[in-house]
Amino acid sequence: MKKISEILVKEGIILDLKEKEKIEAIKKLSKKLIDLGYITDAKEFFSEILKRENLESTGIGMGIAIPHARSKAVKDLVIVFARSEEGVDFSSLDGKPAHLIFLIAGPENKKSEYLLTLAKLSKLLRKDEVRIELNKAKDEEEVLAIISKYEA
Amino acid sequence: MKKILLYLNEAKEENIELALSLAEKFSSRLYVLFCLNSEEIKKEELKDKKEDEGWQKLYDVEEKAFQKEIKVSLLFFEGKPEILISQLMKSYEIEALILNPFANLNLSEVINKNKERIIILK
Repeated sequence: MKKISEILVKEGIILDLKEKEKIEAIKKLSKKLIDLGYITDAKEFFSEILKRENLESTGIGMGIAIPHARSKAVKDLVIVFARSEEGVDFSSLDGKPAHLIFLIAGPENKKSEYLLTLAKLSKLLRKDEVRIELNKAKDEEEVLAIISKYEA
Repeated sequence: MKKILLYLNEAKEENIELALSLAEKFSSRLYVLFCLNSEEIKKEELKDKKEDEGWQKLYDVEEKAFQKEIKVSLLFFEGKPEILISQLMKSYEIEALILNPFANLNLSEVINKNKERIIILK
């Protein structure tokens, strides 16, 4: 089982997300996955991730959202991340906008690993110090270093 | 029945299946609660283990709900389960609660505080 810091790709980190709408934010992160070669069929992946967003809120509160999808259009388990200063409305139950958005994409055949990654990331992000440090991180390396430090 | 709460701590597979099938039948939103019981997690390593267990169970139910196209909300809180359940039932106007009668909580307190709601013990 890989660590989150090994699945989160440096090139997939956006520290100044400008998009204000949920769908636009997800599109921006999905585009990263496509550009990085993790997605074979953009339409299929996007449809899958939107289907889930229509059924539930992936905003878990405390300024965090974890949109996610498992699809045959995904080559390997991967996480991309965006930070938004203004925040994006993910219809979280606590009513707060998401400032830290982690998108997880998993292939069909890695269900257990995908679910465990979701669980590990949710647990990690409940820690106040992780959220505070991620909100202050100056660059992509620092984001990875924070995740790596706290998941150890 | 538009909103159902499943108390996931100590829930058996049949509790989960019942919650999913009722939510599917009535097109309800399913709220799934895992509670870090403050009475149980005094030791840090136990808290850590419980947090792992909680999130894994929550996402497992979420995946099952997604496959059935059920609207689902995951809830993870730390506190006293009897109080949390009652607060959530009230604030989200939840009509039915499903839980294992042998769950580690004060069942009579839950029943007394939620008299107008349907409580399914299985």
